[in-house]
Amino acid sequence: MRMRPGMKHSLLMGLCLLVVAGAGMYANEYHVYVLTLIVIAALPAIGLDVLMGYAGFVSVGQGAMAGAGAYAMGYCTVKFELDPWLSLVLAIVLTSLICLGLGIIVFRTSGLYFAIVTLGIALVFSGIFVNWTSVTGGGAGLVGIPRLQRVPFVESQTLSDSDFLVVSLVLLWFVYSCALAFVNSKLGLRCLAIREDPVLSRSLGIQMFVARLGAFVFAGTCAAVGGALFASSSSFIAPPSFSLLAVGFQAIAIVVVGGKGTLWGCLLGAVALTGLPEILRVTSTYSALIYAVVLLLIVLFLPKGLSGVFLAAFRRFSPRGSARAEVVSYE
Amino acid sequence: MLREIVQYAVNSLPLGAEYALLATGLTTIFGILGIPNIAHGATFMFGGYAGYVSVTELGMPLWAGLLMAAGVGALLGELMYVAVFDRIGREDTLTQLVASLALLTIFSEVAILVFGSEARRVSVGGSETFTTAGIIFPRWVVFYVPAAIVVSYGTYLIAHKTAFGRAMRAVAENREAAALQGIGSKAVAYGTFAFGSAVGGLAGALVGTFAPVQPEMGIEPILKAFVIVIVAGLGSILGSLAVGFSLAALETFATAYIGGAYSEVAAFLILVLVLLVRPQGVFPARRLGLQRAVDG
Repeated sequence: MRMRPGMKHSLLMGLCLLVVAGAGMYANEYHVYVLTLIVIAALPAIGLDVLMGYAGFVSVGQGAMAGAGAYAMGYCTVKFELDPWLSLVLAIVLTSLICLGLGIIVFRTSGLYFAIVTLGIALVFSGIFVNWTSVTGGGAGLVGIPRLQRVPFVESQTLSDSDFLVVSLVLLWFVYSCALAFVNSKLGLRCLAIREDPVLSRSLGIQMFVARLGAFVFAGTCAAVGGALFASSSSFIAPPSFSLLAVGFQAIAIVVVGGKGTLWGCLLGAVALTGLPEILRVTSTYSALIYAVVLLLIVLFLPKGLSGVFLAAFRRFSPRGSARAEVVSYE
Repeated sequence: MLREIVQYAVNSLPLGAEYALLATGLTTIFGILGIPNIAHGATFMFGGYAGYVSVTELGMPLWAGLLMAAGVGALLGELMYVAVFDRIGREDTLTQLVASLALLTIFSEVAILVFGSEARRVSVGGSETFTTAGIIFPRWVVFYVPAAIVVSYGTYLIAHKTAFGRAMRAVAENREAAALQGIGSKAVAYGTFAFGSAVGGLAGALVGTFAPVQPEMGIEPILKAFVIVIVAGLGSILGSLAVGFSLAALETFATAYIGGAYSEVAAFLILVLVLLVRPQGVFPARRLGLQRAVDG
């Protein structure tokens, strides 16, 4: 049987995440917490990598979408007292619809102008998170968001920390596989073609708008999954968690540190940028300073990101690996 | 009613001057040089501290303080350019963005370590306000509004009427072609970055006369400045001046008539809508060939 492109990559990633899940079973509470944070940070970055690395559009608005997902999750569970799994689905659907609406108008602009429109959108959303007190709880935030339970859509026991990590990893794997499927689909290939040569693609009759819209909605939806998981895991959400610096720029930093356009680089980036502050927590006075210096050094001296380092090592130590290493990044 | 409207317009002027000055400096760095330097907010902040140290601590006159701030800004900008941005590929806007974010954090943390996080002022003395024709004017309004206009117009003149400015725009348009005409693109880029940062430092010290100087003072304004620069049209210096004052007026009127909570949301919504109606900005700079950067 011929496997669909990306299938092998997806299975390989599933295996890696399975190992992490297995390790999570035996790790202590703190390590489980950090691993969950890494998964939550990786989700918006994967979506952004598709939009940025494949479609060539930079968005700093991932925080807005993560926030929308998180508040939708919080509102459905706290105010409507809906089932957490149902709320998760609703949050994802709602955010995709928001993205669809926004996507129809934002693609009037391109390049830097597009990035700034998403900056504007992010600032408008943070304003809404702070001020729409009846829904978001304002600066005080939403409290008492329940955990996802063991059996989806049925009243049952809530997940323990390590089980929640496993569920997050499964969702991460699902999103990752969707990203691979998207990248390898006709829509994804169109995105790539448009990025490489907009004029030529257009003359070949490739519809730019639909391909771009697809990438934009996918990016926002990934962020929403991350936001909703965050809400469910921490049981409390407030506007600072979804600010430009906390998610929007962080997602860009994760993609750049991991290596743009590789997808699996996002996971490396998330491990580095989420794990580092946790390690640095010992020296609280200098932690932000050291974090920023390390980030600066990485982008200065590793222009292809952490995934580039891995690929280079792979090529170096396996004489036959060079051709395969190229394929891994896209397949 | 009319008096009320005029009063709100006057109230918005200091904020407008802040936005206009910040956007003017950013336009040269982002609009002309093409580097999305978020750390311009740190230049602005250290300009504020330079003003605070020289005027409040050392008792120098305000003009000397402003000069000091511009100098500190230029030095800091040059440091950033030589140490960081010069090492990153010119086309690699994303890496520049992440590097400048790291720089912003580094400088904010350094400011906390050196000056502490409490708010400082560039104290200039005199009364808080004065009243003319029933309108209450904020202190020094007669000074910083003209200052913003002079700095912005001066930048415009330098960029459009001098040999340096021509070289600057030529390098922005096409580095190779400029080099073939004998323009040293490296020297021009150094000069442009230092110049934009000097304006940023100056802005910080001016703002310090009416708003607190503190480590995080640059973060929010710089994000707004990015929106201003883009809405004005990349590279349009006088456009940034106009849009800067307009955004301040919008925010002030929105606060007055729909309440403080949603004033910023409303202002940004209007700016985003403007950008959607005019995707190239309100005052697109004539042939400021940034097409490559714009096409991403």
